[in-house]
Amino acid sequence: MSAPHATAIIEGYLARLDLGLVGSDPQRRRELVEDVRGHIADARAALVDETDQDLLAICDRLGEPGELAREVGSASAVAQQASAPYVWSWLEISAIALTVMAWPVGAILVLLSRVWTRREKVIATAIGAVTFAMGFPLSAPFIGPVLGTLVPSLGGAAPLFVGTLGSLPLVAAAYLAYRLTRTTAPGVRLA
Amino acid sequence: MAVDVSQMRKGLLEFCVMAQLEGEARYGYELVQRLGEVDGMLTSEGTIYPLLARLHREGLVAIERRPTTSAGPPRKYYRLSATGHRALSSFRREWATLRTAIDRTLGGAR
Repeated sequence: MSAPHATAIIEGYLARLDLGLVGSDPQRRRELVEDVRGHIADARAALVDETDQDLLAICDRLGEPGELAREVGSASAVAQQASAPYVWSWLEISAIALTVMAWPVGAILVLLSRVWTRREKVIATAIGAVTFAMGFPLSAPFIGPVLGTLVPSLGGAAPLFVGTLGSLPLVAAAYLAYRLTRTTAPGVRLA
Repeated sequence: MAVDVSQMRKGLLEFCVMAQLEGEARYGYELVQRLGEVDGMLTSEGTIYPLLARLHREGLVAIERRPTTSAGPPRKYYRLSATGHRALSSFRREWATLRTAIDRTLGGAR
């Protein structure tokens, strides 16, 4: 036989739980309420002759509805953070553009971004650095003699070689853009 | 200084739940009863359900619905998946190492 206020106690508890889950994923919200409803049904089935006090004790052992809702909320927020694809920001777009137009500034922005991995940053920086070093006066004593002997020996292929070296920032930018489309923001796994 | 073990317990609870599902499929209330036999394991019974839902989303447990003897809706039974078995085995090895290290450290500090 049901307790005198069984419906009020149980539905009241479930309503508070449902209210606490407003804003969470609708399917998870529905599932949790149904799971808790099933738990209450199983707990009631174990009672010989239930009273209001028994039902209140079942709800009490389940915990505060707000606490359960927070469990879902925190898990949901972390899961969303972990799986959400990264949305491009101006930092990454500027980093790619300036890698071509003003390599040192672009390289700094690439390093500041959280999107690319350390490996990707090193690869892009190294590619862009080659062209920059070629045009940088201080590196001329090192690069000049090498190119000075290498380029004439290439003959007809020399323009292609120099052009390739000169377009390396474009390669670095293209690589960064490609990785950007395949990268997601670092996620956090719920402990 | 009071020791707050709630976070530690929360982190370990999922493996205790998985261990309970290792041998056979169990439903939520049954699982709560078993965990309740260990003092302090489950502070709020209801928190088991968000945890089970997360384990299911992560593929560590599988769900099957079985009809109940009463007229109510089918019960959800949880059982450990192959991925869950591997995760639990891995945790057992890590835990054995960690427990030994902590016992040694705490014992040596006395």
